[in-house]
Amino acid sequence: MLPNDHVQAVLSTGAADIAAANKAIAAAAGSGTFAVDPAVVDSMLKKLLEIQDAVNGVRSNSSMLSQDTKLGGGYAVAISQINKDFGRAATQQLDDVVREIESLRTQLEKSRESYRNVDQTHSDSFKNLHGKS
Amino acid sequence: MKRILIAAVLGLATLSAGCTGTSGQAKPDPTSATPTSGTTSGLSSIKPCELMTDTEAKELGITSPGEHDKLGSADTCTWTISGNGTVAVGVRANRGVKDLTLDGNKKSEVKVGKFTATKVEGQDGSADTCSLVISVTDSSSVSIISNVNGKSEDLAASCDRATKAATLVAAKLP
Repeated sequence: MLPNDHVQAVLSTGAADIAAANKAIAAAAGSGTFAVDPAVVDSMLKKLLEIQDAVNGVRSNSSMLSQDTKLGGGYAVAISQINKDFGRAATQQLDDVVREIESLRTQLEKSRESYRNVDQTHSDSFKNLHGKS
Repeated sequence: MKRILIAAVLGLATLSAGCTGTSGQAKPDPTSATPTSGTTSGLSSIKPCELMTDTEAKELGITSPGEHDKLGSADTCTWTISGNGTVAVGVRANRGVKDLTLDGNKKSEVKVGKFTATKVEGQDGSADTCSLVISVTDSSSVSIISNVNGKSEDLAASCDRATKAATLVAAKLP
């Protein structure tokens, strides 16, 4: 397997799994079957934000380093081309990862809203049972 | 919940994979053996984190201090805009624009202050990475790189941020 196939395999698996989590949460939150304690969501969002910031830092460093990748002559041309292809593959996959993390954060925010709505509904039902409205 | 934890762990694994993949670019480089003289550019004494003041950084939405690093031939400073990408400045005292590989979806020459710069939109195929590389002398340059959150819709905002940062940086260059 070529190096850029490796990086695509590794990174696309990460992005695909985060995307799958996004879809699952979106579907569950939409149907009201997924509601997480807001404190837990806050903690998850904080951690995801740290990961998102770190990935953006890696993307920035990668962009800075790739500007140094000068195509040489002879055998170095082939090596440089592999590095260049590898860098492009990694860059695009990291775009996917950070995009999916952003989307996951949005879905978690929605799940928090879902929790609030469910909580409020339960609270209202309880009040109604006790003759308070 | 379990799915989310798995996703977070995979995200971390991906992050480290990304680090390994993108920083290991050691290879023969014809320019490294014979760097062109950059002593006249005056860039060697410049600290990249001092190229934007705190007040200027705030104008770009930056609230935390820049982080200094050495990446390849560049002396760099990276500012994180939490949840909204990064801005990085890289000073290359011994490498001009002609010595760099500026590859992207769109490339153009622009004016930044008194300097000419190469603007690269979608660097290395990234959807939202925008770079401006200021040509200080034939053998020295300063790169300004911005990214947001990986979406192609972010490219315009990323280039706007990079251009503003480049203007602030250019004003402090010799």
